[in-house]
Amino acid sequence: MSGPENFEDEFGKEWREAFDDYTQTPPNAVWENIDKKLTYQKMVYYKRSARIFQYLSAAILLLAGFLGIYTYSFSQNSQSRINDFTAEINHPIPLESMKFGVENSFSNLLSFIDESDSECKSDYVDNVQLNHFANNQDNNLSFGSSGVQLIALSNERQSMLEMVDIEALEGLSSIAPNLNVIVASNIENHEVWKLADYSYLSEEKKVSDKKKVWAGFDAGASSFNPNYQSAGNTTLNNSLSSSSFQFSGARTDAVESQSPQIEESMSVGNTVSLGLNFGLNLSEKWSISSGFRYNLSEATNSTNVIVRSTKVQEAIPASQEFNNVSQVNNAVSASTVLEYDFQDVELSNEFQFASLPVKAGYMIYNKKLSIELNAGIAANFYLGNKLSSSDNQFADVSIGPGHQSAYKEISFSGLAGIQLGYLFLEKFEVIIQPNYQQSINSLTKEAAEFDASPSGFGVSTGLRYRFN
Amino acid sequence: MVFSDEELIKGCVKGAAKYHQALYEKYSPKMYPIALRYSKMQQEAEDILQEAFLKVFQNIDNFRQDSSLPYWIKRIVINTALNHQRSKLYLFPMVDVTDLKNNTTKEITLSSLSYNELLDLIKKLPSGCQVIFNLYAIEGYKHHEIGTMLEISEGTSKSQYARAKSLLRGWVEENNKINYERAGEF
Repeated sequence: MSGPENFEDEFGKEWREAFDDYTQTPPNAVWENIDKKLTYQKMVYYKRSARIFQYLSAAILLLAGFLGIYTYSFSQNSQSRINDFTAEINHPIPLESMKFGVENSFSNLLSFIDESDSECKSDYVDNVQLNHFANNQDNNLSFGSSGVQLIALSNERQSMLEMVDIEALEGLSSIAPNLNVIVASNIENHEVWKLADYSYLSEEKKVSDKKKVWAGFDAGASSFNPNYQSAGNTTLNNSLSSSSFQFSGARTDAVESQSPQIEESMSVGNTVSLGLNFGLNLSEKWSISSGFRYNLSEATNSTNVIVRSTKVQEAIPASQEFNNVSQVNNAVSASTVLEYDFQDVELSNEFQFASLPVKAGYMIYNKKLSIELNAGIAANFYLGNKLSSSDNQFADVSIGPGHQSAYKEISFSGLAGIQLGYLFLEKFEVIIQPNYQQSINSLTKEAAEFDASPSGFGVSTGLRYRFN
Repeated sequence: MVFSDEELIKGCVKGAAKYHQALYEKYSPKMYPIALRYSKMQQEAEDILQEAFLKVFQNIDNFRQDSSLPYWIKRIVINTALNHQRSKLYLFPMVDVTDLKNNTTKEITLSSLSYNELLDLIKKLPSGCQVIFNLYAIEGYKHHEIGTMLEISEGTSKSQYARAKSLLRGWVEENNKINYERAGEF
C-alpha cells in the first residue's frame, strides 16, 4: 500500500477522510458462523490426530498382551514340568536307574543356580568329577568367568549350598542346556543325583510339526497419506481441458485479464482393507506369502475455484483431476459457463484399489506364539475414485481407470510389518500385524499436473488355517 | 476484558476460543466497513468478513509482526474482498474508457452526505470501478500496484478510476442540488 502519494488527488483525499476511522459493528450471525467453523476445524484436527494414536495404542496393547501371554505361558509350562518330575528328597534315586540313553561317562545332568543371574542351568557331569568336586572342602576355589555356580544339597534334616566353579569341571559340555533337571542330593556324602526331564522335546517336536501350508483372510485399517504435490499454481485455463472450454479465447466479449489461479491440495485420510492370503513355510525360519486385497482409501481434496454452468445445477469444483473427464467437459463448455467463483471447497476423494502383495517372512520366535518380521512388494490396480461433497451445491464426479483419469492403472508399493500369531486347535492361527506401506512410484500419470505417492501405518487382524 | 495485540496473537496461536473472540470484537468494527465498500450487498460483505477472519485465525502463527496487526488484518480483508470480486471482473470487462465527461474543475463537497449515503454511491459504481476506486482513492495503492493485483494494465486502472470519479462527482452534485432544493422549500 502506497500511502501519501495519492494525496495530490484531492477528490480521493476527501473520500478517504470521509471513511477514515469509521466503525460499524457487524451482525451477530457473522461471529456465530466463524465460531462454528473454528469448532468444526478443531474437531476435524483432533479426530485425525486421534486416529493415529488409536492405531499406535492398539498396536502397543496387542503387543503387550501377546508378550504377557507368552511370558505367563512359558512360566506355567516350566513349572508344570518341574512339578511332574520332582524327586523326593527323602528318598534319593540311585544313579544307575537314571541313565537315559546318554554317554556312560556323561550320565549325570547337574542342575545348579547361577547366583549372578539366578538362572537355573544344566550341564552333563562325569560321575567321578562330580564326586570329586562335591567333596571338595577347599574354600579357595577360583571361579571362572561364567560366575558362581551353586549346587543345592539337602536331606530331610538340613539343606545347604555348595559353590562349584563350573570351569574347573573338566570335560563338561553343554549338550542340552535347556533341559530341566530336578536334583536330589545326599548332604553327608556331598553327592547329587538328578533326573533328566526330556518332556520339552516332545513340545519342540510338536512345534516343529507346525503345518507348512496355510490360507486365511484378514481385515485392516491404516492411515492414508497421499503425499500430494502440485506442479504449482495452475491457471483455470490449463486445468479445465485444453479443447473444451478456453473461456478467455472463445468468448466474444474477451476480457483482458488472465484466468484465475487454482490452489489445490490433498490431506491425510484413512484406508480400510479386506484380504485373502496364503503362504508356505520354506524352513523353520523363513516363509513366503501372497494373496489378494481390496483397499478403500479416503482423503480430502481442497480447491479454491468453482464453475457454474447452465447444464449442471450444482457447481463443479475446478480440480486438476478433471483434465480429461468427459463428464465435466460435457457439462461445462465455453458457451454455457455462467461464472467462476473463488470459493474454498473441501471434497471427499475416495479411491478403490485391488492389490496383489508378495512377502517374505523371518520367524524370530516360533512356538504356539509366533513373532515374524516380514517385508515385500505389492502391485496395486487402480479401480477408480470419486470426488464428492457433503454440500448439495457441488456436483459429484466419479472417475474410472483409463485415459480420463489422472491416475496410473498399476502402481507399486513396499510393505513391512511385524506379525504376531497364536496357534490354537492345532490348525487355526489368529494373526495381528502392525504394518507400514510406502509407494515406490507415483500414483499419477506423467502428464498429470500433480503427484501422489501414498504411505501409511496400520494394523490388520486375521485368521488362518494350516493344511498338511 | 481488553487484551493487547501481543496477548491476542499469543492466545490465538494457542487456539484459545476466548482470544479468537476478543480479536474479532476488537477489529471487526473497523473491518466491516471495508468489506461493505467492496461489495454490492450486505450479505456479501458479511461473507467477506467471515472468510477474512477465518483466514486470520488460520494464519496468525505466520504473522511476522513486521507490520501492525490491524494493518495485517486489513490486508487480508481486502484480498478476500478482491477474491470475491475477481470472478465478476471477468464478466464485466474492464477496458480503457475514453468517453468521459471532464468535470474536474468544479469543486464538490462531501460534507453534506452521511457515511451511508457515501457508501451507497460507491456501491452504485460498476464492479470494476468500485474495486479500483476503493484501492486507489481510499486504500492508497498506486495504479501499477492495482494492475498487478487485478492482472490488468496500468492504463485500465487509471481509466477506470477516472470513470469512477466522473460518476461519483455527478451523483454527489445531483445529491447536493436536491438537498439545496429541499432546503429552499423549507
